[in-house]
Amino acid sequence: MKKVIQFLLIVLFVGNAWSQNTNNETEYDLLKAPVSPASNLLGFAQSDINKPTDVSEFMVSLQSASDSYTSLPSNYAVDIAPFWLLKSKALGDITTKGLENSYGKNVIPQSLVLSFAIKNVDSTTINFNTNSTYAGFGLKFSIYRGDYDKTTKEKLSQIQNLQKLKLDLMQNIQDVTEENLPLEIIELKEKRKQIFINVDVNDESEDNLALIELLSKKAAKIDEEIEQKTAILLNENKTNSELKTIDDKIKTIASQFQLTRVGFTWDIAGGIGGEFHNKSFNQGKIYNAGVWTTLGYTTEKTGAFLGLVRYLHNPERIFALDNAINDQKSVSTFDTGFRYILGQPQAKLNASLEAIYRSFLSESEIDNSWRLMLNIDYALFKNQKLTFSFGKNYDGTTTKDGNLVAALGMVFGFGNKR
Amino acid sequence: MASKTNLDTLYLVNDKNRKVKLNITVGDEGQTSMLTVRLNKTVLIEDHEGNLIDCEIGNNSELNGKKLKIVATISDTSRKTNVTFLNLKINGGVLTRNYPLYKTVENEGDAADYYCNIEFYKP
Repeated sequence: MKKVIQFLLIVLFVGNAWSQNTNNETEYDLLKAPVSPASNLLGFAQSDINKPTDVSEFMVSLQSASDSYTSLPSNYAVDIAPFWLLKSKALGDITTKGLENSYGKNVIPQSLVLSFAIKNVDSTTINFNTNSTYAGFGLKFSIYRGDYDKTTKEKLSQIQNLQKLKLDLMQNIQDVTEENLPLEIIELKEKRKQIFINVDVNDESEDNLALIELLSKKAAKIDEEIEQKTAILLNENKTNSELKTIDDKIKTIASQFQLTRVGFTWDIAGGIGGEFHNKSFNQGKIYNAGVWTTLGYTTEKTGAFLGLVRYLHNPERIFALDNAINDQKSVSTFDTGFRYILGQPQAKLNASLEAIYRSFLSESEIDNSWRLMLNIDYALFKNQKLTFSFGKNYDGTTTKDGNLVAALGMVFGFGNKR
Repeated sequence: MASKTNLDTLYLVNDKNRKVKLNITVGDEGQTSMLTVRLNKTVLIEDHEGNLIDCEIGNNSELNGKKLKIVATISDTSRKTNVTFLNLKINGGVLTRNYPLYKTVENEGDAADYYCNIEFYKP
């Protein structure tokens, strides 16, 4: 099946190559709220956006962009997920068990992404003023993120059943190790207790608790010694083929595990970009802005339906003018649309049809416009996708015809084929 | 890669009737865990998934000499990280204690196994 689809797509590619009208500005997933709203508004490519996962990584990216903190970054885009970046103590349950719920108090903070961008351009960049500095801020979060799909639940259930068997064996190993402790460890445990002899644990005064704290630090050194010696014994007792068999079975499932969600989803994103003339903070004005909300429903078998409502102030492109760059300025648009994705959540072959209607809220010479796009992608491997897009732009007043083979391409992931 | 998967310590208790409680936080993001908690031979919590919140172990006055045994296994089901951790917090006794345990597994799907032995002790 895989080979047949690959062959068909290659034939399709060759057959259309002669007439292919390369359009590098083709937009995919029009109805998807941008992951990085600020960067999207200022036209940054996804690959140029820094996405630090911890504070030190963030500081390194900032240091690099700001010439070791000596100047403001000139071209810099960053997405920060505060919940994951700061790793506060109140993370809650972040295991697959805790992340299962579609909505609740942790869903918004866990999905919140703050997006910052700053841009200075040269004379070759279209639609931006070379004498200005642009800065953007945006955010994105989910109110409903969907529930685990059937495959995800099944895999988790298989892992959990194996983990139960494993815990039984681990308890046995723990008991056997404890029952057969060598004299050396028993003596260390006794020595540890001796540290607290003559301490009055019922006296909960500040001074006494401070003393106990100090003695506990002394005991912690013996803890370490005992732990190191016990770890060797536990490992010796672990050389048990039954445990290894279970581990191998878990690994087979866990290494291929993908967390996929279905059901109702609701995402909200918003961002604003500012233009500062002559690179002066006092001469700033709103360059563009956008608010997106995407409602979706994904099913196990029939696919996913997404509906979008979007407000944009000064969008980068005007659909009705053959998707040309927006040189009208000061226009506000209101988009509504839908996307239907045919294919199961973890299927290799997916097809989607999306339609969007753009209406102009501000006075403009441009008529309201439609746009349609068909996307097909086939996952050759988990990190390699063959994609095909077929789009048609409708001008509200002209009879422009001709379908456009927009793109046939490969999306490669780094690393081995997975 | 540094790791600490084994805990053996004393937890001081006194004669008060205050409850001693155990909290366990498991991670990292998207990992799959299961744990069992026993007090001597008595199973308090069996095959528990995810975090454990405010598990009552017993009153201070009745815990001296007893051993809290915890076994936990965390499977690497996250495609974002190979880090696993198990943070234990015990309060209600003489002091509140935190015991951070951690291991970064080598390969996708590997498991990290944690063994904890906490002896309640009143000098």
